Amino acid sequence: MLHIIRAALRKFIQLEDTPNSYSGLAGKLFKVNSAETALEASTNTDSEIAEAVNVAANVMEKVAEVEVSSDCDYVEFTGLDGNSAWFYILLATAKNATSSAYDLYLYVNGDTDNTHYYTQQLRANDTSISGTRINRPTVAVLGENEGCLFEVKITKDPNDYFRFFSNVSRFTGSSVEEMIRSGTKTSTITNITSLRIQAQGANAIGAGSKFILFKARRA
Amino acid sequence: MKIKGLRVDVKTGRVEEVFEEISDEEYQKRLEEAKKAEEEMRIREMIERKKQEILERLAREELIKEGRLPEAYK
Repeated sequence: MLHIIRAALRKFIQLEDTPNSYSGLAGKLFKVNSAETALEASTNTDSEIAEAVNVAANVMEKVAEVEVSSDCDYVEFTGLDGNSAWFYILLATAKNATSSAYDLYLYVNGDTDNTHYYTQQLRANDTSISGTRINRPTVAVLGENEGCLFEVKITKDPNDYFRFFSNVSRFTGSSVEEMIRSGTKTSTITNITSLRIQAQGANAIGAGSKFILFKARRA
Repeated sequence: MKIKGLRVDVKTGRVEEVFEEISDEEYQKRLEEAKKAEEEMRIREMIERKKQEILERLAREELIKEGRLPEAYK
């Protein structure tokens, strides 16, 4: 008798308390339904997975990380959803592989036109503090062959403007400097779908530069 | 002119090297912009340093005049 049943039910989907088909469920996990009577496909949302593995759904989540293996012009994160994440935080340590000083820009949604952005900066070099506003989205300035550490907080504000502020530590030893910047885009956006850190000069993001992007909210 | 980038798809975690074509004119414009920005920063820094020096000198002179700082600090 048992072998007859086994022969009849060789597949998971033939059971009574499971889906009848795998159609449309590629990549999905299964979970016990709320009535605790059967298995159903999970929607794989962050909060659902967080609940299943018993971690808080409201922790900051690492979205991606990348270490530059050979000098390049830019690092771009795609597939983002700023409307869901609310805020992104980028941690970076970058090295200028060239013998000229270059800005690092932050572009959103593929818009690489500098004139579409403004940045206000404060620079502290010992007791000398200077400020300026520039018509480009500079988040850091890399001295020639220098390294730096910076973080950038990024959002789309309630009026739909792209905003960021960055904090940079540059130069070394007795020359160490602090730079703070606040930037926006000149027109509104509907979402943040991609972010690009681009050097002003060719191949100025050197091998060994590291970037980690976090999102502040799990939807 | 081709510029090289690293594209990270956060949905799949895939990192790929990509190349983007920009015109020579655009590239030259960027280089000039970089030079101009560096020069602007250098000049701003020089002005700020001079402002600091002048303020420091004036502050010392005033304090000496008020008798709160010895002449030796001039």
